[in-house]
Amino acid sequence: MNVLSSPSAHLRRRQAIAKWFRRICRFMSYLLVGIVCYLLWDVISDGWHWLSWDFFQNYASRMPAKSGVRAAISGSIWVMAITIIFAVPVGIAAATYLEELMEQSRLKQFISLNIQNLAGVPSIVYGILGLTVFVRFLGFGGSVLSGGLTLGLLILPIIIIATRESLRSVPQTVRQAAMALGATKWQTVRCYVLPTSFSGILTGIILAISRAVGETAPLILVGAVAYIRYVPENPLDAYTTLPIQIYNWVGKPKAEFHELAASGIIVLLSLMFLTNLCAIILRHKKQRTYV
Amino acid sequence: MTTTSHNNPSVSSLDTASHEADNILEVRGVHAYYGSTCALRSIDLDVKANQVYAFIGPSGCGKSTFLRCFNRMNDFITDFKIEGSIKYRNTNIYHTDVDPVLVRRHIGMVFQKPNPLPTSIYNNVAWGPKINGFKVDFDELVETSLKKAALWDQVKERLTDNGYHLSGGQQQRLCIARAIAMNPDVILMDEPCSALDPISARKIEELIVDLKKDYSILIVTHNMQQAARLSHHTVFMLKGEIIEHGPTHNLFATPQQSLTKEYITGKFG
Ligand SMILES: Nc1ncnc2c1ncn2[C@@H]1O[C@H](COP(=O)(O)OP(=O)(O)OP(=O)(O)O)[C@@H](O)[C@H]1O
Ligand SMILES: [Mg+2]
Repeated sequence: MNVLSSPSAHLRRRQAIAKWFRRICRFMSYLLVGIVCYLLWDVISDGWHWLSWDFFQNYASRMPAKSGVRAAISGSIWVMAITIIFAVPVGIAAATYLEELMEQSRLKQFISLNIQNLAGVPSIVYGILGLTVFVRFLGFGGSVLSGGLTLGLLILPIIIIATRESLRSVPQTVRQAAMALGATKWQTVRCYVLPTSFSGILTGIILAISRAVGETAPLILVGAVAYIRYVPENPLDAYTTLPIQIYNWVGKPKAEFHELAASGIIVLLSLMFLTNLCAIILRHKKQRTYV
Repeated sequence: MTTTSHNNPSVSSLDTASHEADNILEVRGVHAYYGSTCALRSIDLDVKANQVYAFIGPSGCGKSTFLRCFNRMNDFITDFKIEGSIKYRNTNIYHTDVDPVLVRRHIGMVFQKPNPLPTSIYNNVAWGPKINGFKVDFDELVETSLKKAALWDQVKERLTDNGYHLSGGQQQRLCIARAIAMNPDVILMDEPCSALDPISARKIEELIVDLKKDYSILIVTHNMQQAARLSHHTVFMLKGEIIEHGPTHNLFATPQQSLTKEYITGKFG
């Protein structure tokens, strides 16, 4: 008899388990997509009809029809700009030092471990830190600067970890090639290691930023105000941001404000979607050129 | 040939130390350790200028470790320790005053696996001289180096292509061109043909025959015929020690040690 014609009971059982495993995994992924779609549909159906040019031009108001996200969007952009200016250079420099330049040592292990832990600290804790250091000790008050720096601290560990990860993915042979030509460590890193890991670093940064855009709790602690009727003009101005505006609208009794909150969410989601799209495009654009 | 490295001020400190000694490299009492395991044991060796030295021995005997000692590439391995001295033109390259960057500028290396830099073919060759402050015509330097590496005709139309778009054998020749462009004194080659097909390997070998007129070459190989064909001297290593070394034809014709004889006749290894 042919050995292939009659699978044993044991094999049939293994195949059955494999099939069920597949089904369960498929169900979970569809479930997830379903939940996201439902949420999106809910938000869009609520908020769609408030979206108009006026919505982007108006400040917050007591009357729903005159309310808009002008201050919130500009505040969000201000805060993000400061977050990026602070966190990106510091994060890349720290990651490069830890990954490429620092000698292996206890201290390095200690720092690495702490950065891992910091990435998992709840954002409200960063809010308290920002309140103590930036708002009170350094006296920046409830300004754009305090908010941006606080969010910068929040995403710094994420940027450092992502950058180290992509630096590590550059093959050792590239470094050896450069060093064997009489390059210094820094020349090697600047000319080959950083450029080859560029797309990975960028992806990490953009993901970190899209996390920071949606943060609310720490900003409330460091003094973002909900009712702002102007666009911040310098880093020490008071401000509000999209998530805070949304939070504020949701807390109001009138149903129209709840719909406005949905509109705000649409704007916020579009913003995050755009940044993520950038990450995807950049990642595909700069494929690796080594084996 | 573009030999303008002497214009380079940063080069002088090692150059002035050189006087016309026969031995370009002198290894004295070298022990090397990875952590607590000893990879090289009391090695002594003199390397004469403009000669080819072949290093043979079974896998794991320390050939690569030894080769990397000459351009201090072992410095990047944590836990690596070296004792003894290696003198390059009468300067101990492990002396605290010696900058390893300068050592590597004079002692070039070709790796076992072709490893172009992730950049254009042109930059692969020109980058080393550029960062080391050469004041030369780089187009000309790239051309002569690629010609010496027998690669120019195949790549002259596509110098801006990425180095990784070449075939394995071409990549290895690019790596050799890159090493030559630095106008080194010594070239270290760690099994440069082992990742290549026989035809590419033969081309590299012909190239080495060409190069041995101008450079001192230290080459690790697992191929006895290759060692016999290419080298003036052969060094046989075993378990981190040099068992025997001498002129290649002597070592292959009349090995003094029984271990050497067994190895080159294929009894072990
Ligand atoms: N980075 C390292 N860390 C620890 N031990 C190492 C390291 N590199 C090499 N060794 C050890 O040192 C010894 C010599 O290794 P080496 O690579 O010099 O051998 P080799 O003669 O080049 O062998 P092969 O012919 O296989 O390339 C081996 O026992 C190896 O396990
Ligand atoms: Mg080896």
